[in-house]
Amino acid sequence: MFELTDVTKSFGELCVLQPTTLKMESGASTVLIGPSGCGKSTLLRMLVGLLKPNGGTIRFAGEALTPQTLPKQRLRMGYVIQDGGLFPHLTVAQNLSLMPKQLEWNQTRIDQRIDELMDLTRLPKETRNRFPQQISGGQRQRVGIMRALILEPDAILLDEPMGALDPMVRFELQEDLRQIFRTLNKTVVMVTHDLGEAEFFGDTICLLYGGKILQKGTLQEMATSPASPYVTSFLKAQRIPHFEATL
Amino acid sequence: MKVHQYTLIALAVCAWILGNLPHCSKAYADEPQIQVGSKSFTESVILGELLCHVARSQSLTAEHRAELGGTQVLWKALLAGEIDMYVEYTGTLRKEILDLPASATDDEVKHQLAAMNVGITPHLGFNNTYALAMPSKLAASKNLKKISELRNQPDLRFGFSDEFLDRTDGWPGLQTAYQLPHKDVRGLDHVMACRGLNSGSLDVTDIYSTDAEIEFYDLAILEDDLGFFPKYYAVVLYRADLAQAHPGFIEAIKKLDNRISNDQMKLLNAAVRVNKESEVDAAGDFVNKQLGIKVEWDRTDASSWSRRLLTRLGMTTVQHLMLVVISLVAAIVVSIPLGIIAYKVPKAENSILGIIGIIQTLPSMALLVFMIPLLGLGILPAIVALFLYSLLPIVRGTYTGLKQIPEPLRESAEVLGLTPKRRLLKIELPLASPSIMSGIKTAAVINIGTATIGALIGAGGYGQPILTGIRLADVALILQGAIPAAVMALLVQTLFGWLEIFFIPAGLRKQ
Repeated sequence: MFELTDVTKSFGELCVLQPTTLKMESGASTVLIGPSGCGKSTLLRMLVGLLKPNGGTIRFAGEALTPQTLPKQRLRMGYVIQDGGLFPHLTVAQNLSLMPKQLEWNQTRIDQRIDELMDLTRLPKETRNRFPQQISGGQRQRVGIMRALILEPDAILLDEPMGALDPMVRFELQEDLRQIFRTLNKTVVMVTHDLGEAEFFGDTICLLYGGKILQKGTLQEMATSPASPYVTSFLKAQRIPHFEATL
Repeated sequence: MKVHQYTLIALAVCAWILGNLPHCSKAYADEPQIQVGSKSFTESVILGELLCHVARSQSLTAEHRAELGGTQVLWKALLAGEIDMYVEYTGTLRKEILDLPASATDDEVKHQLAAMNVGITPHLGFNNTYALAMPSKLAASKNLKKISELRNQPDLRFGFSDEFLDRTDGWPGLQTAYQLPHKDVRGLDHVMACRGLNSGSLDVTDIYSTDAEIEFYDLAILEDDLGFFPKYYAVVLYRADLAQAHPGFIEAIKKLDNRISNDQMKLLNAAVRVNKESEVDAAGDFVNKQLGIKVEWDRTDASSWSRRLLTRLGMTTVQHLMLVVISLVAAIVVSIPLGIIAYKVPKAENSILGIIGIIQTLPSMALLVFMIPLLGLGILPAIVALFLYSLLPIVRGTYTGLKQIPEPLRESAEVLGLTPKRRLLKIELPLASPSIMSGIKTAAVINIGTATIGALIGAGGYGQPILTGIRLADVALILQGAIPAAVMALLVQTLFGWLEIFFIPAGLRKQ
């Protein structure tokens, strides 16, 4: 689905992503993990076209991302950020209807789609006409996910989606989210700094450090055959009990 | 789609209002044959009425555009043809208008004026020159009789009218000529200065030699022993084409040659200032009895005071609202797009905010004087000035509101795939609306206050009673302008509280 060839990014003098080549398969989920400043968010923001690479090419569904192609390509991507990124002046339903209205769906179709998604994300129906600040953090994140899914995109990109949630809400949402992704069979790219979450979601995990991918694979592979000593210390630092024994 | 309809209606209304403005600025269907101007002090207003009486005695229709801002406003208005004549003083004419030495002969003055199509009559008689005045008792106790004797009294507190403080033939020249050491010199209104002398908070002020206050406050005039002050004989300046159009009238005006003495002028001033006669009555009686010209007019009826109050309140309210509403609507229509451009186009950001900031720093009086040749007198230049002063708060409000949208929300809107136009209309402007509304509210309230300066160029409004009230030291009259202006400001605040329900999305309003 996404194909990166020698993609680099720097902000002025500061190089945040060294030449990176990476392929993300259709229907698979890839998690980008690493410490702050490793380049994982930069990589994700280039995939949705918020940042332009300094070198290399990014292809989405076989077509290079360019300013001309982006508007169409974005309709096939869903983007979820921390706390949902909902517009505070619009109700839940209005937040969800923004794109369908631009694409001139009729109201019945919009309502049906919202109902479907409310069932899928298990969002209570009575939140429909509430403003974002009138619902809980977990609910806001569910609306954010609904908004990303509303046009039935091919890929979902999530930037630390659970970052602002407390552990119990987070746990419940993680379960639901994995269920949704499996049901819909979407390509998923998620950025997180939580190894447990990475293992839970990721078919493939990419561990980034200092602007490059140190190791790509499963958590098990990283534990048993680390590509560098940093991989081991990163895993250790996360204090996952059943893991500490293997390291 | 609704938004588009409202925008169209709003634009149509603005276009209609702007299209009709030139008619509004001349509020009369039949334009009078003679437009007389006067400055905003009593003597000038009385003489303006006097000229109107003479015009009517010649069966001409005359309008008095009374209490205009000052020398520059009158002079520019005369050149622009907004007024046909006004009474000027020879000293002011030489120094402030023509920039001639005080020694210039009458013929030189006449010649220069003729080149500008302006005619001048012989002196009306009195010499209303500047003089320095102090309370008689204080002058007696310090044994002060001449201005040069002030040199030995450096502790005296001086308070001068703002015009006197600025003029080359006022304080700066006087201080140099007499070598006066005084440091405690304040600028204040002429009337306030007289009151200050009376209450003992001030020792010396400038005064005109025909002022009614000299007797009223028991003041002593200090002799100009170096002959510094130029002569300020009153003359009538008129547009030269008037001599062709109404030769009889100009002849009649020229016959006023030396007909009004210093004492007569002082009495006329006192009739208005002290005895509270209206200017039109005082001038009419003088024309009838002293000049022997038969005139008739509607005498000001003192018994109808409350009715006049209501009529005046109604009229000034309509005028004031018109100034505020039209300028504000026009400013909103222009400022919001400017704010959006400043936010969207980084190259335009500094120039837009810079230019609008500079406009805000222009002194209002300078702006008004500058606009007279372009837009004349009346409500049009006042509206343009208010419009210009309203730009900054609204442009700033729009720009800041848009700038303050959190980055994640801006990016969410972009990645969602919303078109730039829909992003602006559905996301950015609604999110900026509280800031835009507060900019408009600030502009409206400031506008209500600033609109009072409109009276200086004949635009009416609440500034008119304030201006007249200050001139006549009539607190009740000042309050007739000041109280409604304050009430209007409060009402507008409340109104905007209501409007926020319509213009600020529910999700952004304070719960």
